[in-house]
This record gives sequence, structure tokens and C-alpha cells, in this order.
Amino acid sequence: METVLESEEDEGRELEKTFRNTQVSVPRQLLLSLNMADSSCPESHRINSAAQIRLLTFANNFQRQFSHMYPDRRPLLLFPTNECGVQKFVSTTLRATATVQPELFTWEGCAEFAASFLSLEPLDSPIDLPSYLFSPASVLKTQRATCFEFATLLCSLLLGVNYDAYCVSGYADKEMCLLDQSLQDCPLLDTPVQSVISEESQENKYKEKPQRSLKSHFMTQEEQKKKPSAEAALLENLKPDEGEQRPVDRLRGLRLHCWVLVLSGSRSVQENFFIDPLTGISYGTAAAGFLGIESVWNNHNYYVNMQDCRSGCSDMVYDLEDVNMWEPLLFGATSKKQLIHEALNKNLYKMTQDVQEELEELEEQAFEMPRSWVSDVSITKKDLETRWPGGHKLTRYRKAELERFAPYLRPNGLITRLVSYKDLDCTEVLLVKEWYQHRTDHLEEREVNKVDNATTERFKRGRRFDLLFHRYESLTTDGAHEMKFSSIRVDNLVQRLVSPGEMTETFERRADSLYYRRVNFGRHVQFSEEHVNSEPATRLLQVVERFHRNSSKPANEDVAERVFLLAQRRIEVTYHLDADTFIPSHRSFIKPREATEQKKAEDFTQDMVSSFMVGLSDTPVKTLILYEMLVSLMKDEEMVVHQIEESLKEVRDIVSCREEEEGDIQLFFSPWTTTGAARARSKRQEMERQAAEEQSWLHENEKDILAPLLMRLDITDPLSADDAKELHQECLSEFKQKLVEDANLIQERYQNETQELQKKQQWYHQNQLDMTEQQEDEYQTYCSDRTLQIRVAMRRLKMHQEEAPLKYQALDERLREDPRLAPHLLS
Amino acid sequence: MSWQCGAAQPILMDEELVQKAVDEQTPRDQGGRIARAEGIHLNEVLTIRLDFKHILKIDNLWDFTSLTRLYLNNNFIERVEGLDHLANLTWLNLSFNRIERIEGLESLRKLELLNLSNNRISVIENMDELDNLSHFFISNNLLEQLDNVLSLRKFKKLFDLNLSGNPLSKEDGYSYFIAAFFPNLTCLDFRLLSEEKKKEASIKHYLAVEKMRQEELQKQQADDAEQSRKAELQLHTDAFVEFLNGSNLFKSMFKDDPEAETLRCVTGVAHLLQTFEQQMGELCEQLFEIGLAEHKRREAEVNSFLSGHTKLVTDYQKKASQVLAEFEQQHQERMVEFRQLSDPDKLQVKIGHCNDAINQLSDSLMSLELKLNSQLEDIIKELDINISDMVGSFTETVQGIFAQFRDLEDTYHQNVRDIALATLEKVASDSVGEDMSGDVRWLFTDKNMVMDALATGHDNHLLKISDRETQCVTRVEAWKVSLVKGIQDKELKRNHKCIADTLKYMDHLREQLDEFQWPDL
Repeated sequence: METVLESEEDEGRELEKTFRNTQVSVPRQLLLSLNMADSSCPESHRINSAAQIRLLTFANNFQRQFSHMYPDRRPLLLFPTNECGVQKFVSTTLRATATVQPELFTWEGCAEFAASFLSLEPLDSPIDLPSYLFSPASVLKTQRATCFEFATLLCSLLLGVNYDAYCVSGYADKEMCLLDQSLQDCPLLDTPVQSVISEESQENKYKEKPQRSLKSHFMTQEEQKKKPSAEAALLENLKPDEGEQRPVDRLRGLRLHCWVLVLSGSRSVQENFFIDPLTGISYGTAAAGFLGIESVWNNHNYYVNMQDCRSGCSDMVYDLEDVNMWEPLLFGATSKKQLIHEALNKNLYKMTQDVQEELEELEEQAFEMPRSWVSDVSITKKDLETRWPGGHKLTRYRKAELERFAPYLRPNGLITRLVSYKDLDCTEVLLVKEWYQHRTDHLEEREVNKVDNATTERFKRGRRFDLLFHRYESLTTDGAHEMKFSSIRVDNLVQRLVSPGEMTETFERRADSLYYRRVNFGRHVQFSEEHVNSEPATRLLQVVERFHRNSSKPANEDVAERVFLLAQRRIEVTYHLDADTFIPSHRSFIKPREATEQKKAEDFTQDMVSSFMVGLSDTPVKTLILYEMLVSLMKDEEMVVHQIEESLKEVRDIVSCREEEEGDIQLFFSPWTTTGAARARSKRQEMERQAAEEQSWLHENEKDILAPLLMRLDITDPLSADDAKELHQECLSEFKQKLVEDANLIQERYQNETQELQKKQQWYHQNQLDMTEQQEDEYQTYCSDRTLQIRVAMRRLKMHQEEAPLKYQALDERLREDPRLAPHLLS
Repeated sequence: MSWQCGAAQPILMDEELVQKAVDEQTPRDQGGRIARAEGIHLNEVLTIRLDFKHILKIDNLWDFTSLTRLYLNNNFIERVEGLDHLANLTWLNLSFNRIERIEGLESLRKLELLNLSNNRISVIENMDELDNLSHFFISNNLLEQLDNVLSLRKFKKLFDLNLSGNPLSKEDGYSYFIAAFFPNLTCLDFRLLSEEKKKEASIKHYLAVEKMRQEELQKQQADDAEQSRKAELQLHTDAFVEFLNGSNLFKSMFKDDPEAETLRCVTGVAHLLQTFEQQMGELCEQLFEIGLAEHKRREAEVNSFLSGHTKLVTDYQKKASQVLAEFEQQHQERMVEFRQLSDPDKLQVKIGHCNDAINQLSDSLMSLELKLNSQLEDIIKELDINISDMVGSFTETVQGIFAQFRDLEDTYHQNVRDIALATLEKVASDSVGEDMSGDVRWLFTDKNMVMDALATGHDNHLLKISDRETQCVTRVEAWKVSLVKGIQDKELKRNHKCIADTLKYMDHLREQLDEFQWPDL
């Protein structure tokens, strides 16, 4: 170890010179193939600073000594070329980037983003180190990356949010290197097993004593003998299919991979773990897929693994300070651990007097890793939203395909689609599950089961009919439907099962304690004309209703079940069980016939009721009470029938509503998403444009008082002075005439009214004597009406006379100001 | 208003009138027909209208025990009387009469609406029993004192009040006064009391209302304290350790001791007495705590038994219901079959089958009941054993502690005796100081008298202790016995009832069957 460093110091200066000129050492073809214009790159990408050159010298030296001392080890990835064809040290390619997106504050978010945002570019050769490593900034632009670039981006993000993260260069199995997930089960497929919370019931010692079981010991023994063989047979069946076995990978253990190691200690990480940047999935450090580690690095240092990797990474120790296990490239450079320690002690340092000296001392210690050359890594909100290259990604899993879409990409709001297959070759579809977002019909999830052809839809709360869940085979009224509703419904309906001939409704927390209602229908075909268009008429055969116990009533009067046998004109009532009996009371009523044209209504008699009441009630119930019971039951029956009709109608409504919604899918556009914001902006611009158009149109069409005259006189622009004067005079005279006409009109009205009044008065004077009271009244009201009218006419005339000259003047002024006439009328 | 004109003759409220009124209000439809056919019992009538009848005196209403609504408005009634039997009345209309005093409403505890409008009442009184009153109309009367209305504040449910047309309602700020003192009121004089008005009123009369509320609150608190004290005492009594916290027992021991006070004055005795009291107190406290803890344990045991009992019964009920449901389904099918069968021979065979099925059902139900009964008896036995254990150990503890009481008493007695003897000697030798009072000196002149007094005191004390002990032990024993007995009785009743019901049901089924067999009968 020490020897390495000493020689490093010696040879450092010599090599520095050679590295100053290494910019051009990369073949031109590569640069061209990268299709990167040098000028677009910032300067730091194209030129190595002095510190970087010194670092490269160290690295070169280190590599030479490393290959000298360990000739059987494979070369290290130390300074690949970047997108501008300049050699850069890998640690300086990491740029700790803090983002403002809250999604990227956790490692889960970062890993998911890196995995979904980039698409994998396989290494040129799966076993050779790449000769280039692009900066995270340029990778984000192209959205294509090798596993090394994946890891570099993810590590940069993690360092930015203060994780103790490292890039790991090592070996992994083929599936991981090539992002082949077809052997894994889709994580969305395994439904979480709901842990049944066992009721915390205390063992009560007062319980039923078990009956002595009369069982043959011999038989049990025989049975137990049989068991193992049956279990073995079961196990046999569970063995995986032959088709799933893959051929052995020839390159196993040689395939290069790069991933991220997160060490415990910061951000309340309890244990070290790996993140595979290609999938964004975290693994324990002993996971089987990782076969070996060559080196790890972060933005402070580069460590070469000195431990044996023959048994994978399971026994690896990640104490990077330990020089026997991890050989650092920069000896004495600060590590993350030191930084954490320092931050803790900073306050103490501040207290001491000679702070400066001590700090200087610290700085003198060793060569520090220079700053990153990578330009700012910026991740926009839009990047986060669109995620996948092109906003869409397809992943193949074992017997399943997962397709994901960016929000608003698909017009029907589809976000995720999971297709699961029956077989490994993915030919026979078993189940299609789709997740939606932002839909106005609140659909969140749809599951189409191709085997039994059932469609299950789940909705968010708050949609029409409070529907939460809908399962059907076909979206028609005739088929079977299962609907679940949210508990805020007024009728407390929770579930409704409809099938041909039957409907079951379940309620919760109803005030009348009804919890169950089953309806049986008898169908009869309608041939009559008027029913052709309406729904097929259904006939109720039987309605069963069940109620919870209402403890405020005695059990004998608390109805447990009501059966309306509509077809048989019977109603059966069963009451709740008393606390200590086995047989419930029940009553059975026969409905008396209603009055028809031929017959009088049937009278109610005691025979129409057959009842069995528990208890020792000697006095029979009075007929009147029975009759009242029957009447209220019949009333209830009517209501129930009505409710059932409503329910059926609602089923039809829901089905048609769903059909309509599916036919015209609409999405909410939330203004807090970039797509929504863009849409809102364009909408506003459109509205502004329209408003402006309308404004201009209005402006153009403003009333032109000269237009009719111009047309009549057939004068075209521009006006001559004579024309203008003539026009002016014409206009004024016409207006004057109009005013006079108005005045005349009012005058005429006034005279008419006066004349009529006079006539009436004359008539009154003549007939005053032989007049009835009523006529007198009529006359009086007539007179007052007339006088009012006359007065109004007079007032109007007066007003007109006052206003006319003013109006005339106003018109004159306006004409003089008119741009077409003004120049000619100045004189 | 005809009664003011005096046009009509007042009539008596006799049986005929009432009967007629009942008859008139019976509807003419099917239900009415049935009712008439069966005969109308006055004690089942719920509503009766006796308005505009020129009635002078309320009478003949004692049969209407279930009456809920009574209309006696627009009559000539002068006194409220004869309503004593109408305990279920919720609605009473006495408006447009000549009533001058509120009275005779004592038994109408369920009354919710009371209409006394258009009478001649000048004071609100005699209404303390009407706890459920929610509507009270007393408009157009002669009420003058606003303060008198405040007596209505005790009706917590009152929300509709009508006082218009009284002299008091003409006073300034009358409505604000009412609104302030009746914050729960929603309607006053048939008008909705708005929130703003209530607020304004409460500001206006803030001080007075607040004072009144404080007083009521204090009274309420005192009542609550009394209640909780009573509840606590009840708990202690249930635990059989009432009055054992503190030095009650000790005090009761020395309460009837005539010589105790005299003896106390002897030097040394007071000190002895004090230690004795302290020791007794500590022991009592210990006993008290044990008693409460034991009570809790017993309660828990009984509760656990009850829940187990309920569970057992429900389980068996479920089983029985299943059996029953199966049978009924088959039975229904059979009945339908019977109706279609016409061949009498076949019918006979079928009915035979049916009978068998009924018998089978009966058997299975009975055997279920038998099993349940034996199970229940088992757990009752278990409860008996457990409770007996508890009671036994409690009794032992109690007896132990009481033995300690006796020991203490003995020690005390011995000590006092010693002191008494010493004092006797002193008195005899006349060497006592001047500090001894005359009484004591006189007592100690006679040795026999002193010894007698001490012995009686001692005996008395022991008797008191024994009494308390016996009381405690016998009561706990009695409690146990009555508990077990009660449970056993209940079980017996349940068993009887269940069997009776089952038999009754079988009879019912057989009767139904018989109808098929001999349809002519």
C-alpha cells in the first residue's frame, strides 16, 4: 500500500506534462459517432483543469502499479472519455445534484426516476470495460445510457440528497445486465394477502364442553400414514415447469455491470444495500444476482476491492476505511464518513481560538478530489411526468407484460396496463388489468378476465350513483351485474347483485335495521306494441327482507324476516328469536281481494292469518290489531315494490350512464401538472385571441350614422368638400324632420286621448241618472286612467320640446367631428 | 265564539256522551267495521275529541287508561279535574274554556303538549310533574308577572311557547326577556326565534341570566355530588365493606360506652386509645381495599359467565335455526304437494310421512335443548364453585382481620386494666396528683365498679366487632346463594319455556296437518 503511494508521488510531476496534451488521444470516429458538436459542450467538458490533470496522473500511475502488482486482475475503470472525447476521472463525473422535485428526495424516488427515464444501451462488449462514460447531463438529454451511466446518474442524484452512495463496478448475472425481467413475477401481480386480524377474544372458561369424540385410534393412524404420500404428490405438482429453465450462461461471472451501493449512516439508512439502476429495485448486499465487485467510487475517492469475490458479494465488508480490504486511490482524502464527523464537530471547532490554523493543517494533509466537471444536472417537472422515453414503456415479466404511459399521453387516461398470460410464451391472455388517472368518470381500475369474460371496474369516490365497484359480463341490462356503493348513499345501499330473475341488495346501518333484500322476478314476454320500446316488463314473484334485531322492542314484535309472496297474495312475517327459545314466532297473512267491478272487496277475517306465537300468550290477538298489521304490511309492500322498481331503473341508468361515459371519455386536466398547465395556457390564449377578434369585429361594425346617407347619395370615398357639405345638411335636415315627426306623434296621441275623455264625459252627463253603481265605478276608473294618459302625453311632449334642440346640436357636433366630414366642414 | 254568547245550554259529560264520541271517531272502513264487530274497549282508545260540546265538568274519563290525545277545547270547563287515570296522555287541549287555575295535572307525567289558551289563568303553577313538556300554549290569559314565567325554565325539553295576549306580553322587552331566559326555545308566540334575536337578548339580560344559571349550576353540582356519593356507598355496600374506610367501626365501638370518656382522662389511656384507633383504622382500610378488589373480581367472574352463557345459547339457537329452516323448506314443499294431490289414499300416506318428519323435528329440537340444558347446568355449577371459592377466601380474610380486631381490643383492654389497677392503687393510697378530676377520682374509689365498667366496655366492643363480622359474612353468603339460585331459576324457566314452545310448535304443525286430513272439520 505505502509503496504504491510513494511511487505515485515521485512520478506524478513527470506524467503531468503528458496528460496536458491528452485531449486529442481519442479516435475521431468515436467522436463523430457520438454525434456531439464540441461547441455545444461547456468548457469544463472539453478541457481538463490543472487539478484534474494531476488527478489523471495519479490515476494512470495507480493503474500501472495495480496491473503490475495484480497481473491476474482485470483492468479498472478509471478515466474513460466523455462525450467530448476528453478523458475524465470517474469520480469527477459524479456531480452531487440537489433537485427541487419532492419526488427525488428519497432513494426510492431517485431510483425509480433513473430506471424509468433512461433506456438501456447495452455495452459494446458485455465483458469489456467501456471506453467512454458520458456525463449525467448529456445522458439526461439523450435518455439513452449504459449501465455505468445509469449508475452515475443515480449516484449523482443520491449524493445530492445526502445519501452515502457509491458507484460499484463489478459483475452481475445476465438477466440483471441485460435488464431481462422475464424470469421475474410482475410486482403488480401478486396481490397483497390480507392478514386476517384474529379477534382478540379472551378465552372464556364458561364455554361449551366438547363432546367426547368417539374416534378409532387405528383409523387416525392409517390416515396419518397416507398423508406423507399425498404431500409428496402435491410437491411434485408444485415443481416449476420445464420450459422455464434457461441454458447456462457461458459468460457468467464475466459480465460487467455497474450499480449503486448505499451505505448506512446517513439519512437514517440502517443497513447497507444495493440499488440496481436499471430497474430501480433495491437488493440486500448479499443478493444472488451480484457476482463480484471490482471497485467502488463516489465524488471523493475511488476504492479498489481487495476482498475475495469467489462466493459473490455475500461476504463482502463495506468498511471503506479499512485499507486491507479497500485500496483507496487518493490516500488521505476526505471520505464521507469524515465529512459527517466534521459536520458534527464543527461547532466545537468554532469555539477554539486557533480555528484557522487547524483548518489549514487539515487542508495540507492530502490531495483532494477536484470539483466535478459535469455541468448542472437539471431535472424538470415535465421530465418527471413524462418519465419514459416517449412517455411509454413496455416491460416483460414472467407470464406478464407491463405497459406504462405518462399521464395524459393516452386520450382515455390509461396509465398502466398489465396483461398476464397463461403460458410462458405469452400467447394466451389470461387477464388484462388497466389503471387510469384523471378520468371524469372516476374510473381507476379495470380488470378484464378473459377466462370467465368478466369485467371488473373500480371507481374513486364521488362519482354518480356513488358507484365504487362494478363487475359485469356485458354492459347490458339483461346480464349479471355486481355493484358496490360507497356508504354515503341516502338509502344506505352497499351492494347490489343483479342477475336474470333475481336481485339481491345489501344495506348497512339503516335506521329501520334492514340489511338484506332479495327479489325474485318472473319474466313474461310482452308482445304488445306499446311495450316494444320500453324495458321488458318484469313481474315480482317474491321479496325477502331481513332485519337486524332492534333491542328496544320485545323479540316477539321485532320482525326478523318479511317475505312478500306477491304471486300467491301472501305475506309471511318471522319474528326474532327470544333470548331463550329455538323457535321464532311467525305470522302468515293472506291478502284479501280488492274490489273489482263484479265483486265487492273481500272482508278481512281471522282465517286469513295463521300465526304461531311463542310464549304463553293465552289471549288471542284481536282481529283489529291483526288487520292493522296487515294494512301496514300491505303499505310496506307497495313501498318495497316501488323501491325495487327504482332499483331496477337505477341499474338501467347506471348501465346506460357507463355506456355513455365509455363512449365519450373525458379527462380532468389538473393545473398542477405540466400537461394540464400547458393546456390551460393554450386555452387561455385561445380565449384571449377570440376576445380580441370579437373586439375588433365590434369595432369595425360600430354604427356609422352616415352609412345610410352615403348609400343613398351614392357617394364613394373620399368625399369632396361639396359632397361633405351636402351630406351634412342632408343629415341635419333629416334628423330635424324626424324630431318634428316625433313631436307630431305625441301631439296626436294627446289629442286623441283628450277627445275620448270628452266623449265619455258627455256620455256620462247624459246617462248619469240611470246608472248602476258598477257602471259608475267603471266610469270613474276610466276617467282616472285617461287623465293619467293625457298627463303622461303632455309631459312627454314637453320633454321632447326641451330635448329636441339639444339633440339636434349633439348630432351637429358629432357630424363635425366625423373624420370623413371634419376636414371639409371646418370653414 | 258561541260560549261567550251563552247561546247553548251547558251539558254534563256523562257516559253516553263519551261513548258517542268514541263511536263517532271510529272510521267507517274495514278496520272500523272489525273494531265494532269486536267491540270497542275504552281502555284501548288512543284519541278522543270532546270539543264544542258545552261541557261544564270533566268526568267519566277513568276508563281511558291508554289515551294519548284528549281534546276538550271550546267547552265551559271551569276546573281541571278527573284526569288522574290518563297516565299516558301526551296531548291535552283545554283552550277556550273558563279555567282560572292550573291544577289537576299531577299524574300526566308523559304530557308533551299542553294548550291552555283563552282561559282566565293568572298564575303559572302546579306543573312540576310535567317533565316531558315541549309545547306550552297559554296565550290570551291573565298572566301578569314575567317572573312567574321563569318557573317554566325547569322544562328542559320546552321549545315552543306561546304567551301572547296576556298582560305581561305587553310589557317592554317582553320577547327579549323570554328569549334570554329560554335559550332552548325555537318558537315564541308562533314565531321563529331568530339567532340574532337570541344573541341580542342574551346580551341584554346577560347578568341576570348568568346569575340564575350559576345558581342552577350549583344546585346541579350539589345534586351530582349527592348522586355520586350515593353510588359510591352502593358500591361499597355491594362489596360488603360499607363504612369500613376510616374509623367508623372504631367510633361505633365507643359510641355507647358510658365510661369511656371518664377513662380517657386517666393518664396513659388517651395515648392507648389513640394507638388503638390508629391500628384499627389501618386494618379497616386494608379490609376495605380487599373488599373492593374482591367485589371487582366477583363481578368480572359473573360477567364472564354471562357472556359465556349468551354465547352458548346463541350457538344452540343457530343450530336449531338450521334444523328448523331445513324442515320448513321441506314442509313447504310438502304442503304444496298436498294441495295438488286429490287421491285420498296417497294423501294419507303423505300425511303419515309428514307426521314422521314432524316427530323427527321434535326429537332433534328436544335433544338440542337437552344438550344445551346440560351444558348450561355444567357452567352454572362451575360458576357456583368459582364464586364459592371466592366468597370462601373473602370470608376467611374478613374473619382473619376481625380476629386481629379482637386481639387489638384484648390488648387494649389489658392495658387499660393495668392502668386502672395502678390508678386504683394510687387512689387508694391517695398519692395521685391534683390533676385528676373529681369524676375520675370518684370512679376509682370503688374497685368493683371500675372493673365492671371495664369489663362491660370490653364486652360491648367485642360484641360490636362480632356483629360487623357476622353482618359481612352472612351477607356475602346470602348474595352468593341468591345469585346462583337466580341463575338456576332462570335456566329452569328458560328450559321450560323452550320445551313448551317446541311442543306448542309441534301442535301447531299437527293442527295444520289435520286440516288436510279432515278438511271438513
